[in-house]
Amino acid sequence: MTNKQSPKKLIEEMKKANAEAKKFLEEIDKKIAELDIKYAQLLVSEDITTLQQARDIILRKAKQK
Amino acid sequence: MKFIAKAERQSSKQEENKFPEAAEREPEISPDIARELKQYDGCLKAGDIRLNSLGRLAREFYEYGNQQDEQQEAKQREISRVKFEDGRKLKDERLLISAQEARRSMAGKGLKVLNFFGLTSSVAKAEIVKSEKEETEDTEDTEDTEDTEYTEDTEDKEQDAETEEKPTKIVSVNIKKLIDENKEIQLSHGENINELAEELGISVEEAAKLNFYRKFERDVDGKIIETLSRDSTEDEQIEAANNLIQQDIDNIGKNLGADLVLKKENLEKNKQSRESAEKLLGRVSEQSRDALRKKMEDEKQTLQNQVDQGQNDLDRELEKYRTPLTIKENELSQMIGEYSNVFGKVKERENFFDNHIKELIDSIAEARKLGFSGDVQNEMIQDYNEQIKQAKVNLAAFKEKRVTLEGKLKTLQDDHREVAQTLQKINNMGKTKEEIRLEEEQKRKNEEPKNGPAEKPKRNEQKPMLGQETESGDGGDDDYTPAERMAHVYSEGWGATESTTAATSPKPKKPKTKQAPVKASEVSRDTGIQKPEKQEKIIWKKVGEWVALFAEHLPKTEKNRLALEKIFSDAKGEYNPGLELPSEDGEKPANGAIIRVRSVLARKDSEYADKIIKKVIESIKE
Repeated sequence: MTNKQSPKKLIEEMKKANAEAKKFLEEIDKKIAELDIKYAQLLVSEDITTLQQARDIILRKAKQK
Repeated sequence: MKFIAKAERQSSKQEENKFPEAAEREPEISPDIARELKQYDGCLKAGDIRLNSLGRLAREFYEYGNQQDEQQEAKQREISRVKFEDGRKLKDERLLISAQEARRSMAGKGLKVLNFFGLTSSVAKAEIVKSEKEETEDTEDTEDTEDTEYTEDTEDKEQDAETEEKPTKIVSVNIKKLIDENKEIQLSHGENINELAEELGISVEEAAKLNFYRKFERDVDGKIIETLSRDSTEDEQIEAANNLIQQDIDNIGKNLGADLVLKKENLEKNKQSRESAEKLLGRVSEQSRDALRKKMEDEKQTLQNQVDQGQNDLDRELEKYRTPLTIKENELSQMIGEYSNVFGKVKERENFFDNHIKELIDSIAEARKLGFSGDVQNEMIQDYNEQIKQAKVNLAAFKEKRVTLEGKLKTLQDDHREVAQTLQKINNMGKTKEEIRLEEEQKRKNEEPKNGPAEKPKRNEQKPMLGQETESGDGGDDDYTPAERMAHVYSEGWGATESTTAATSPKPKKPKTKQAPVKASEVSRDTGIQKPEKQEKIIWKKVGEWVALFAEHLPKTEKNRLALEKIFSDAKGEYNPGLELPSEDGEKPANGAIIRVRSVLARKDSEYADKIIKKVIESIKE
């Protein structure tokens, strides 16, 4: 933790973090976009499964009639 | 960067042609059911197209991620900026107006909304009961205009003949004839749609795209009932589908589940009767004793057979829901784990900047108090202030990311909880109260050691989770470059599985086994999140092995072989977040592809599909 650190060390850490922040944020954005695509794929796949299952139920009921 | 390129899918038309041997002619169906099936087919096709687009996007994202030149890096950044506030929004793009807005519009105009999200019908309906006076007027109107009565054909012709600038001529409606012929008026263009749009208080474009129908019927008192209906939107269709599935699951529970419970109770009663009878057997002759014992044993066996049969029937019916739900639960857990890892790192950076800013401000104040002066000190303070200014900008950026991720995690956790609850409901079907009680007791016992003090993770080993404060600036990580840090983040931490590690570590190893769908009982009640340590293994096979496995149980035709190869080759981690891309020798995860095979087979016959999948699973177990 940073408590009781010397101002010099604090500023060095801050400079390093500031310098890295932009690239870090870009990487985070990229990862979030990647996960969002995967989540969207999961949702759409799930919708397809749901629709197919419901369609099966309707057909099954139609067969029973 | 490792990334999962979702396989581009064949169009649904092409897929329908796969496995032709599995095709079975659909039974004679009523026009209403045919219309409903048509709507489902439309939505399925739209889903395929959407999945295709996402696959392309994922592939593009991955391809650009591996490029070095500036132009391609720029392209990747552009893709990164695609507004995926939430994956759900992708699904909502297609909606012209939300279902709720449509419902409000309809209700606001004094129309009685009926069956908007019908359990068995996905057709939205509104109803107006016409007054006697209106009925007379309508009837008179129609009598005067019989020569220009409305039919769908004439409407189509008129639409073809007319340009957009020339409005379609007013088509009068012969209500009497429409009632007699049980016909509907399609309100997609012309004056009809203008009137309708005005009636509903929505724009003509919206009304046209929602594809309304108007139908006239007589009720038991002879009054004319006017019903306004429209094809459901995709979201409504999916909601209706979900309701239908829930209803089906409930029915399975009420019938097969309750039946099994009854059979188990009968078996239990029989056991108690046998125990009581056994005490009395000493009083009868040996011959009678043997005969009675044989009779009791036969009774027991009959009841046991009934229980076994009931369990098989229930399992067979539930399996079609249990497997996809278990896979979905597992995938959601992985997604939660991956988002949580990103969340943890963002939160860590946010805390770092927050704390450092405060400490630097204190340092400057202290320096001033001590009366530092001179150029060197001033320069230093100026440097501090510049860094603080920049840090505040970064702090705001990290805070914004953290809030976005919190929202996503909340959605995912809600989804996960819902799936876990449904699975729990399914898993409890056919169990007696005593069985459920014993299972819960066992679960509590299993959880106890985990919650004990000895099992608590060390502080610096705690995994980042939603809303959890993480240590900042604790050394270690801060020496990493961002890329190293990202790799480190994704290979460690809560919810990171073998698969996610393999997918995101700089040098992934090929796992031989993967984590299996996790049972609902292994899901934390508080968070709805599965515990990674409870995960089991799932099977990994090469594409060729999967194809051979399925081919064994399907008609051996070249077409089937090619179809299977296509599905498994295309899988490339489909439905398996966090798995590495296939290598040259092609060892690939395939449970997503298995669902795909089932889905293709089920388009023609779901029972056949289930049978094949069951056979394959049995082969794997062997």
